[in-house]
Amino acid sequence: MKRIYAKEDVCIGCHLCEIHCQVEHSSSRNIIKTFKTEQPPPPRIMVQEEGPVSFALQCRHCPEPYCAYACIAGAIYQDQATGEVIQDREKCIGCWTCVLSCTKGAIRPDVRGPRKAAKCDLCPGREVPACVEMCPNDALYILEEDP
Amino acid sequence: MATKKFDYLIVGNSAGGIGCVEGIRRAGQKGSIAVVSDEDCHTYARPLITHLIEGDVEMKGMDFRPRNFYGSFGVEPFLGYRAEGLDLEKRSVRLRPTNGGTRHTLRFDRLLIATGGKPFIPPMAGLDLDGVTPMITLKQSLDVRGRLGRVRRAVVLGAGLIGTKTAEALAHRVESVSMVELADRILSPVTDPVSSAMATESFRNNGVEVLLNTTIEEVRGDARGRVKEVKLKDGSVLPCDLLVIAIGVRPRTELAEEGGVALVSMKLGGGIEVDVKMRTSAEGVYACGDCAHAHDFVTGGMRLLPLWPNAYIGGRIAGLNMAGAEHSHRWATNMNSVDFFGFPMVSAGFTLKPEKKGYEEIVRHEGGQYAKIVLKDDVIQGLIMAGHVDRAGIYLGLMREKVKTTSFKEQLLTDEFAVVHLPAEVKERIKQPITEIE
Repeated sequence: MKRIYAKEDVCIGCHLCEIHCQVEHSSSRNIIKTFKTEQPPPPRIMVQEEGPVSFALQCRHCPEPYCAYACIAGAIYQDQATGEVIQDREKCIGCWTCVLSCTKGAIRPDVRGPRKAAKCDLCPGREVPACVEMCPNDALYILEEDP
Repeated sequence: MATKKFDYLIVGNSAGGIGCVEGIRRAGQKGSIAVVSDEDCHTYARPLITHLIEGDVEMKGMDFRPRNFYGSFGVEPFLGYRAEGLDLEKRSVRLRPTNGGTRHTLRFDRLLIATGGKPFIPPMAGLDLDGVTPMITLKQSLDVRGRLGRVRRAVVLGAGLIGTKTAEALAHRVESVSMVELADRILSPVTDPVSSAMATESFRNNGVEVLLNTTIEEVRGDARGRVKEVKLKDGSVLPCDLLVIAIGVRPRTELAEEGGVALVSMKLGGGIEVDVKMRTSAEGVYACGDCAHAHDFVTGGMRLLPLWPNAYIGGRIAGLNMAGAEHSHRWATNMNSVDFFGFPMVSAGFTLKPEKKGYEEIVRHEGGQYAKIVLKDDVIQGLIMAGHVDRAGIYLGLMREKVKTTSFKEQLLTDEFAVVHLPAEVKERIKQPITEIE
């Protein structure tokens, strides 16, 4: 499966990956509309900084996904073929059990409308996920790994 | 009467039972599996039954797994059968149909008991009146949903997780809701006074009457046998046409007892005794979920933890082990996550600082946001977040791995606290996907 990794030595903490993640998951998918006329969705990737160190982190699509094991709605599951950890947003009721279960802090509440958890979905429909494609420093890259 | 033999027999079709099926198949075992439940329906997300009343979830959203689950996992379901007469010599149980149908005897090689909990019903007159119900099954939830048109005033007895979620749901649907709780605060086992007061406020702001330090003394009905009002300890009377009893669940252990499977003492809650591999006292018999004890990674002891994630993971680990693997369930503690009217709250481990040497708590309370961490010698032992829950899981992970927070304690409760603030070696480990179950 595709798994996204970050290179700490070239990440400058510009947060563009977050911006483009938000655009990709907005209703218009237009950067200006997303931030000017819509309520932008929460980024599903998070840039973290401490002094000179910075990197972006998103769902690791864990082979042992505790978020899926903990989900009280049956809304998170592992795709048997690809190993991706998939969230069925229709089924999610926003109880935040997955937020509490993810030791990476990679799932966050989306409270724009009906409450839903938000996590990286690897941008279905895109060849390359938006965060990876739009990073100006190539600080995010994809590794094809066994599930 | 038909007799059938299965390699794996699972009694329970909820979180634990489904986890067990998935664990067995994950271990690569192709043996035959039967799943038995006295509830005559597809596996459903039990904690969502109050949402069915609220109306934000419909029947389709209740399915815990897709409709083709049993078929695709090679499971023969026996839904609508009560398992009884566990015989460990013959390695068999009898199935009694709960809704018509034939009796069966099922023989097994390995057995999982995941029979869940039963509501605790206090000894009180009037609980057999029409309009009085517990709230732990789909049927009970559908029954309440079906009578909403005739309900103006509802009373919920008990402000634990089931009681509070029921009160929240009813507040969306009926004219008035009163929640009655004997303790001095709602959700007492999973909160501290501050977070509980915040949650109480969100109930009151949404029109729910919260009555603390009191309980129902008498339930009265009308001439047609329908609930009419409840009388509280202080003498006041609340008229109601629906009364939900939600003062707790007890382990459902009848099947285990019939077979002579050891239980823990009633003083410790009376559930089925298990080890961290989910094995009971009987060879080849496992148990998990609300009917059994579980290992608490904070206290290190075994206790009842009637929580959905504990049931699922316990069942999954039982399944892996029943299929020949060697895993331990060390992922459970008193952990809860809820949202009331848009007010989110999570907690894990100790929610109150134990009055013992070495414990301390750090708190941040600003506006509608509250966070508290309980530490012992700089290792996290407890967490409460209310009003905001972002990145709560990082704390839970540190708690589970018993990471010393000494070098980053100052940053723990800052807005930006994240994986980057952890010591290099911990940081690198947490950035990697979790590849193994313990």
